[in-house]
Amino acid sequence: MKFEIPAALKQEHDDLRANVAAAGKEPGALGEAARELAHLLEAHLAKEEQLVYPPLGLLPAVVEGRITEEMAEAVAMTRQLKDDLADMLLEHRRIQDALRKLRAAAASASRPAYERFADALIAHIETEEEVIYPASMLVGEHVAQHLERQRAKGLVRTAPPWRSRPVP
Amino acid sequence: MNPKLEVPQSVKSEHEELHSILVGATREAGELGAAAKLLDTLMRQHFNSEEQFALPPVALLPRLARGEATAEMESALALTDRLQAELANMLSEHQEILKAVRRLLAAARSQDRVEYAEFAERLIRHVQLAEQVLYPAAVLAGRYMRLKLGRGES
Repeated sequence: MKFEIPAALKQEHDDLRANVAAAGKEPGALGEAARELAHLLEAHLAKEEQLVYPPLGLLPAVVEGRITEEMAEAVAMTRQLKDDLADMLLEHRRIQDALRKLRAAAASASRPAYERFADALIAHIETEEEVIYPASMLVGEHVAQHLERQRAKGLVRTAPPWRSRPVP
Repeated sequence: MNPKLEVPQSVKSEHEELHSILVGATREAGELGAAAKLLDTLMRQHFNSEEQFALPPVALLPRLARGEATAEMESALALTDRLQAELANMLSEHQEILKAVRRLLAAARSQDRVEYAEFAERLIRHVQLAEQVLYPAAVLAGRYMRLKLGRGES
């Protein structure tokens, strides 16, 4: 089953990568701080795009009660997320430290756009921890509960065949 | 659990910050100020609805994600029911807000006011996040509570 990452989150990551890449080309402490941040972000963003964001793409179908056996993959993702959560939160702390360095370097270099970028990313991390990660885990938890009950009743629905056919 | 559900702090801070920048823009002269004033009127009412019933259930997500659904959370069902009932209206308000944001964005760009252009882009992102994640997650919180507490659909 194809999991579409919500466009708002994908756009946020794309902008983030673009900003960090641009800051990395700056001279001096600002560029150095940005390159250190880029190094920390690379694996973390990839993990989010692999485990955290895809289950959120199921939200519209799940809230409408359209839960199918193919969604079990999201349950596996969010269970992995729960297992990896402590590590991912630790990565957030390291990224926030790097962002504070970048913010200070941007202030010294009188580059307010990068100061605002650092503030926005710090805020984004807080939203991820309070809302995005728990929402993703709830999708998995809800789908798991639903499928378990449906299986017990012998009522599991699979996706209609037209959904799984490859596009000609 | 606190009997009064609060909007998660990160979302509340985002609302406060967006509002504070917008208030600054309303003090600008000409088209930029006019666009900001219209946007401010639309957003005050909308943020009020969000903070009243759409976003407080989001505060339950961490506990629900751990499989905790308790009878004391039931008061949140009235909020998620209200969100579902008013969802079409909330989305229609988003369309009005987006129209006003685009007007502000055009005015900010034509006057080289980068800070307000960035604000407009950030607000567009905030609206998209509300539609794609926050509202459906709040509704899902209600559905999950009903499933776990055996309350049936509203």
